[in-house]
Amino acid sequence: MSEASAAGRKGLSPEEIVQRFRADVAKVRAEIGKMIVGQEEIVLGTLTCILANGNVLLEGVPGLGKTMLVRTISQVMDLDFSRIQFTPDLQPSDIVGTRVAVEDEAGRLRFDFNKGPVFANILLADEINRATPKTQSALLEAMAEKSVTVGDKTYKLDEPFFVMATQNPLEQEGTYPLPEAQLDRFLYKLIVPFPTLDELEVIMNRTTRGFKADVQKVIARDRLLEMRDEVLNVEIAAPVQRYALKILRATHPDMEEATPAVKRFVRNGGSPRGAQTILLTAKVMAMMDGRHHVAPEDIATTAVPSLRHRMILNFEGEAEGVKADDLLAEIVKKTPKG
Amino acid sequence: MDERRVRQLVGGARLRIRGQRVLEGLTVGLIPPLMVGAGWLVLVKTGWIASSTLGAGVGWTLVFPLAGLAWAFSSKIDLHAVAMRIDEANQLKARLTTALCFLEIPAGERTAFQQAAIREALPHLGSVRVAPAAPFALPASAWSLVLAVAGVAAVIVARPPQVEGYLPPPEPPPVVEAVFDDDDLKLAREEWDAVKAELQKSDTPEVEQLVGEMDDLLAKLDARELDKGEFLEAVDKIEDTFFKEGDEGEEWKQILDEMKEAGEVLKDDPLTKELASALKEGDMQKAAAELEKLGEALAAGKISDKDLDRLSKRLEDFSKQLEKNAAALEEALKEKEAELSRLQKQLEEKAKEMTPEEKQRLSRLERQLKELRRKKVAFDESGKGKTMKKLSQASKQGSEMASQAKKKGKGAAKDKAGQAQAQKEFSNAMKAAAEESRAVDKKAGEGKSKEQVAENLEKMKERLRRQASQKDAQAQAQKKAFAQKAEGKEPPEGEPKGSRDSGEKVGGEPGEQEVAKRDGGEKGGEKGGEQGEGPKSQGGKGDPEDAKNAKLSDADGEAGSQVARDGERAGGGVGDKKLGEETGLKDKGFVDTKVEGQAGAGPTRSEVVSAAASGGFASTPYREAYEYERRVAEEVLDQEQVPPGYRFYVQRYFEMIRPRGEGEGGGAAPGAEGP
Repeated sequence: MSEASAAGRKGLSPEEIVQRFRADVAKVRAEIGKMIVGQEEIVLGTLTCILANGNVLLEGVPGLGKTMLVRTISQVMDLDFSRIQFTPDLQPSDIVGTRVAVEDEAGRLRFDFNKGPVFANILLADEINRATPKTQSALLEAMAEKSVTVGDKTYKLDEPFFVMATQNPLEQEGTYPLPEAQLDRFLYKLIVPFPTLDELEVIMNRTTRGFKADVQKVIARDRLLEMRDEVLNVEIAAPVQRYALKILRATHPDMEEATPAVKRFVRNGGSPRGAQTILLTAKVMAMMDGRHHVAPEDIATTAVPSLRHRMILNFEGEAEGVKADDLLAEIVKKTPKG
Repeated sequence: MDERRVRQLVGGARLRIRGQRVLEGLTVGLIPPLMVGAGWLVLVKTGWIASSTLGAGVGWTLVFPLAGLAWAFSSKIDLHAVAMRIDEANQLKARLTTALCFLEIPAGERTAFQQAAIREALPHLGSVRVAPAAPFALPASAWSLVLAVAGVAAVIVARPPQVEGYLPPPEPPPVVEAVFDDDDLKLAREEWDAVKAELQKSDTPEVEQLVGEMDDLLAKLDARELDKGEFLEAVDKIEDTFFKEGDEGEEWKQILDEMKEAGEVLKDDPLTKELASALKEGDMQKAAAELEKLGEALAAGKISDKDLDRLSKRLEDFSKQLEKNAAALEEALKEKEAELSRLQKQLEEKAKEMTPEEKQRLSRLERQLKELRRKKVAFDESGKGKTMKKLSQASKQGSEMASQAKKKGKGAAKDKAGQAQAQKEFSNAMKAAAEESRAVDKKAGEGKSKEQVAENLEKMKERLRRQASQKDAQAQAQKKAFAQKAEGKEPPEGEPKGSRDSGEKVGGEPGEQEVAKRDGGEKGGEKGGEQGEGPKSQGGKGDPEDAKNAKLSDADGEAGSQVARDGERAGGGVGDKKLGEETGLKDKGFVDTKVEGQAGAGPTRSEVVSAAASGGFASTPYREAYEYERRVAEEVLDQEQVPPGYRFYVQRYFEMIRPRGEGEGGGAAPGAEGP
C-alpha cells in the first residue's frame, strides 16, 4: 500500500500519519511494559522489526522473558502466537505441518494438510540452533517468502508473519549454528541483557506474589499492516542513504572504507540485505521519533543490530575474542556522514 | 523565501569554508617565498650575491601563494556535506540536509513526505548557527609560517658579521709527537758522532756544510721539534744534497784505473818497474815518490844515456796512454766533422736537392757531432780531463827532458851547466807528475771517504728505524718466539723464556757437544771465546781446539757474548769485515769440497710432497708467510751477532724461495707454510 493511497484513503497528511504512528507505538510499548520489566532496547528492537516486516533473532540465556515478550506482543496486537522448542530430533514437518490420510463421510480416504505451528502470526522458535540444519532451513521459506510448500502445494502464511528465534549463547555443545543464509533472513539480532538489580526486584515481586498483568489489545492486526505500509513512505536524503551504504561497505575487509580492525578480523561483511535492513528499520525509528525523514542518527542506531549477525569473523577474530559489536561501533564512529 | 533561507545558510557555510581554504592556501604558499627570501637576504648581507638579484631570485617563488589561492578557490565544496555539517553542529538530525536535497527536486514532483520533510526543517532554520559548522581555525601550517616570518625578520634585523677588528684566535702550535725517546736520541747522537769523526778527516766546505746541517738537525731533535719521520726525511735531503755528485768519486777512481792501465807500459823497464807496481796497486803516494826518485836520479846523473833513452820512450808511451781517451774522442770528432763536411759538399753538388733519406742522415750526423763536441767540452772542463792532461803533459815533458838531457850529454858533454839544467827540468817535470798523482790520490781518497760516509749515514738511519721497530711489543714477542723455535724449543704460553746466555748443555745432531760457557765480555778470556766464534767450517767438537779453527774464520772480533755451540753454529764474535768482503781463507790452503749426500732413513721427496698435500692447503698466502718469516729472520740477524758468511746463506735462502710473479702472491705453494 503506497503513501498516496494510505494518506489519500484516510485523508491524512504526512504529519498526521507520523503522529498517529508515533502514538500507536507508544501505546503498544506502554502495554508491553505492563508485563515486561525493563528490556527497553529489546522491546523497541522487536517492535521495529515487526513494523519493518522482518524477523528477529534474540540471543540470551534462558529466563530473561523472551517468550513472555512474544506472547505479550501477540496479545497487544491481537496476533496468533505459536512456540516451537527446537530439539535435535525436530523434523521439518513438525514445523510446517504434514499431510495426513483422512476418511470422509463417504468412507473414502483423502490426504488433508495438517498445518504446523508455523501457521501463526508470531512464531517463537525457541533455541533454534538446537535443531538440525534441515529443520532450521524449513523456516527459510516461511521467513523469506511468507509461505510454506508441502508436497506440491504452497500455502500462504497469514499476514503479518513474524518469526522470533532465540538461541542460548552458553550451551553451544550439540548445537547447529545457523547458516549465513538463514541468519541473513533476520533483520535484527538482539542481545538480551541480564536485568538490572532494580528490574530484577520488580520481576521477583511480580512473579512470586501472584501478580497477573492485565494486558489489553491496543492495536488491531489491520492497523499493524497499515503501519508497516506507512513506514515505507518515510523519505531519506541521498547523503544519509550514502552514509548507510558506507557503513555497510566498511564491514567488508576488502573495501577501502574498511577500518584496520575489520581488515584484520573480518572474513565477510554484511550483504545488501543488511543495508536494506538498516534503511527500513531507520525509517521505523524516524517515524517513532516523529520525523518524515531518516537522520544519520537513525542509521547509527540501527546499524549495529542489523549487521552484527551478518559480519563473519575470521579465525584470528574468533581466536582473539573480537566482538562484532565493537567493530561496528568503530565503523559507525569513523564513517563520515554525508 | 524559506527555500532561499535554506540555500543562504548552506551558502554562508560554504563561504566560510572557502575562506578557511584561502587562509590555508596562502599560509602554505607563503612559506617557500619567505624561506627563499630569508636565504637571499643572508646571501646579500654576507656579500655573496648582489641585492639586484631580488627580482630574479625571489620573484618566481610568488608562484607558491598564487597556487595556494588557486587551490582555495577552485576546490569543490559539496553542499550536501556542508548541510550535514550544519545539521551536526545544530543537532538538526539531518533536517537541513534532507530539505536541501528535496528542494533540488522540482516542487511538482515532490512527494507529500518530501514536502513534509521540507516543512519540518523550516521551523528550525531560525535557530541555526553556521559558525559552529564552519569555524575559522588556525591553519595547520600557521606555525611554520610564523617561524618563516620570524626568520626573515631576524635576518633583516641582524647585522652581518663585522670582519674588521676581529681576528680569529691564534691557532695552537702544532703538537709534534716526540717519537724519539731518550734512548733513540742517544743512539742517533752516537751514530752521528761516529759519522762525524769519519767526515772530519776531510776539511772540504761541503763536509763542513754537511756537519753543520746535521748538527742543526740533531739540535732540533733534542728540542723535540721533529718526529722520527721528519728527522729521517731531513737526513735523506741532506744526503741528496751532499752526495748529489756522487759519481765524482767514481770519476777519480776511473782516473786511477786508467793510470793503472797506462802504467802497464812501464812495468818491463827496470827503472820504472816500481812506478808501474805502485800504479797497479793504486798507491799514488808511492807512485809519486817513484817519480820524484826518477827525477832525482836523473839530476844526480845516475842514469846512463841508454837508460835515459829508454826512459824517454816509456814516459812518452805513458803519456800517450793517458791521452788515449781524449785522443779517441778527438779522433771521433774529427771523423764526424769530415763526414759532415763531405756530405754537405755532395749536397751542394746536387744543386741543393736532398732526398728525405739524405736529410735524415744529415740531421743524424749533426746530432752526433753536437754530442761529441759536448762530450769533448765536458771532458776538457772536468777535473778528470784537466788532471789527465796535466799528468800527460808532465810525462811528456819528462820524456822531452830526458831526451834533451841525452842529447846534451852526447853533443856537449862538457856543457855541465846545460846538462844540469836539463836534468833539473826533468826532475821538476817528474815532481809535477808526482804532484798530480798525489792530487789524484787525494781526490780518489775523498771519493772513497764520501762513499764511506754515505754508507755510515745509511746505516745510522737503518739502525734508528730498527730501534723504533724493536720497541714494538709484538715484534719483540715474534722475535723471541722465533729465537726459541730456532733453538728447537716450543715457546711456552705467554712470555717466551730462554736466554741467549743460558749456557745449557745441549745434545746436538753431530754427536755430543759441549756447550762452551760464555759470558760475553766478562768471561772473554776463556778459551774459544776470546776471539769470538766464526763459522766452523768443519763442524768440530766443543773443545778448545776449535778456538784455533775459529781464529781462521773471518770473524776475528772481540770476545763473543753468546752461547756458541762449537762446530754447530756461528760464534758470537764481532768481526771487522764488511758484509760480502773477501776473507783471508783462500790463502789458508782450504779446498772447496762437494760432499755427496747419503740416503738416510728419512722420507723421500715424493713422500714429503704427498704428506704435505694430505695435510691440506695452507690458508695463509705464500707471499704473506714469506714476508713474515723474512722480516723475523732479518730482525734476528740484525740483533744477533751472526758472522757475515752465515748472513749470506740466510739471505740467499730467502732469495731462493722468494715468491715470483704476481700470480704467486695468493698461492700456497711452494712451501705453503712459509719458510
